[in-house]
Amino acid sequence: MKVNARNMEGRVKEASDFAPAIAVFHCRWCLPESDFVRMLLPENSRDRSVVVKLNCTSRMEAEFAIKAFAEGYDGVLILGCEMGECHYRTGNELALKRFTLFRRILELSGIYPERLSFIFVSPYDEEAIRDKVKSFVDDVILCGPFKYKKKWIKPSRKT
Amino acid sequence: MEGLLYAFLFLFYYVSEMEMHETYIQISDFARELDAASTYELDLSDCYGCARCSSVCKVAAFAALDEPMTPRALLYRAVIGETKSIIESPFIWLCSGCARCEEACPQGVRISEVVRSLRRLALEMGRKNPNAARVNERICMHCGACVVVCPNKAISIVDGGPKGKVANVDPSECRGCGACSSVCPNNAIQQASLNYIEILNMFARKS
Amino acid sequence: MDKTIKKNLVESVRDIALDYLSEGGYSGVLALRRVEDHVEPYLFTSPNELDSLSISGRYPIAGVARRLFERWPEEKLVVVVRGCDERHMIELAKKGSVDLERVRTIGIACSEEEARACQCVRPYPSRVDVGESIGDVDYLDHETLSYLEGLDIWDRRRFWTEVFSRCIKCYGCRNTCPLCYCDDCRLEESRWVRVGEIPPEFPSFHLIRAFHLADKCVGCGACERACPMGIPLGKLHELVRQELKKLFGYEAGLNVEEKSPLLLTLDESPMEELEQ
Repeated sequence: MKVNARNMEGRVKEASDFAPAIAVFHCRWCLPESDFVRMLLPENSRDRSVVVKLNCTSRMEAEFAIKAFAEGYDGVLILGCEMGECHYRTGNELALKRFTLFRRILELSGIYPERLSFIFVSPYDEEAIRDKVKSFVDDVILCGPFKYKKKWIKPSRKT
Repeated sequence: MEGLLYAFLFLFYYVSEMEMHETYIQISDFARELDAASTYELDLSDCYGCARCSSVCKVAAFAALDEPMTPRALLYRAVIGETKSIIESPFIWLCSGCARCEEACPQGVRISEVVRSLRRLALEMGRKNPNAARVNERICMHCGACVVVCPNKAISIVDGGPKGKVANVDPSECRGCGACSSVCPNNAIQQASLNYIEILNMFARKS
Repeated sequence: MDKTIKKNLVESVRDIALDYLSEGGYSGVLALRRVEDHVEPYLFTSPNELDSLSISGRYPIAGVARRLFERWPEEKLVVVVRGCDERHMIELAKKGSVDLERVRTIGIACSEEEARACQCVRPYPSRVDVGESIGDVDYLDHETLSYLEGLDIWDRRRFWTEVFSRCIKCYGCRNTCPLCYCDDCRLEESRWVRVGEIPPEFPSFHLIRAFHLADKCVGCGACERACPMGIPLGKLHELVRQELKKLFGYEAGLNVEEKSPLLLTLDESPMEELEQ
């Protein structure tokens, strides 16, 4: 895991202090009930987080993730069907390609790629979903809050 | 004497055959309509109700409809001619044509073709596909990304619209996956049931 | 640049343009015209205008060609292209905005100085009519690119935060890019990018653009040249292009039949490293 304890976005005194705001996007076939995922998030995160149900992960645009970060969410979680199990045959392949590229772009712009995660889940295996969501939330807590200090910086002489 | 016995047995057999045919469920006119609407031969009477199709169907298991529907129930209602409940059920619009039911069926009934015919008939009757993609013709730049990405090849670029060419969706083939909406550069094509504004409002915050 | 060689190149272009105009059937030759102290794109329709045709200066002319075809789709056009212009036309043809059957190109190969100034790797079109191609070169700004790749993630964040905070939302990058042509651009919609904020909120404006152009950008650098605030946009797009090359082996603008990997399934376009 590449996340370092020292992070520029915020100072986290203790992991338990920080309740991350997570935006979860899941497909309706791998997870019929949104509340199941909501209950897997830490208790103090539930009010600040949102769970969005889509027909397929292929609907999930990278721009939604960009907007979620701009709106102040600390992490974006995408839950989709496993390879070969997509109800629309190839929707999850499209989403996987898109988000693999997008994680690289996030890393290039200086945002921890661990803030965005694409996890394959099956509706028949609840324990696996629980473990994977927990490890994602732990990663986001280590990344710290997503803050962007906006100020007008005078352009320096040398570019 | 023997001839009379054989004649009597023959008559008995013939009459009982007729009676047995009377107790069979007649294939409804609706089922014949479905057969006519499809490019394949659909013999719904092959189904003997084993429900293997229902056990592999994702829509039956996870769609959480108000009125539950399974492939077996759908076939049965088609055979007996109870058309209203299946034409109005969201089941036919959620079916994606994955054909797991066809693979599982021991009698080779083409169930996903039955659903496809049902969709065509429903559209002819004036019902609408609630998950279908709709194109905003004013802003579509006919770039063709949606055409490439659609898993059911439901979209094509046709002449028309204010820019000369525009994308067009076939509602009988569209299954509502949303891949087209995600690749459209300016949000011109959206699902009728959930568009990008509604999704953005779901997670918009005053931060 | 040696004036005589330059003069010969321009003369050659004018001769070929004259041939096309005399042949007839084309609505004109789209090229740059010298007007007093600058150049501007112009559609030459008669031979006596050709004296002012110029090939100095860089201009992403494919955008003008696209607009001409949008307005008059039945016409045929001759376009003077450099390597990057031709790649723009190929990408536009993939989107159905330009019909390559109706386009004839006059291909100019860039000289070493021109390639160096543009930080180019492919300074030649597929068919060179004027000039000598110098082949595949590598004039990318490796110093900056490797500096950026070597930075730790928080220093990278500091770098991009600083450069993007200079953005004044002039839309110069979007207006000049031939592949950014949506009439109802998302960057102008208040739902995606808040209106009236300078600098625009991070990361909305620039990351939306970077992602949209990921599989379309051919690396011409027009956006960086257009930016009045000196934001190194070209570097960001070049890094994204390299990621696409690493993941899918795809480079935009080379083959009109090759579809973007982001639209194809894993069978049709496999991904090299399948990681989550």
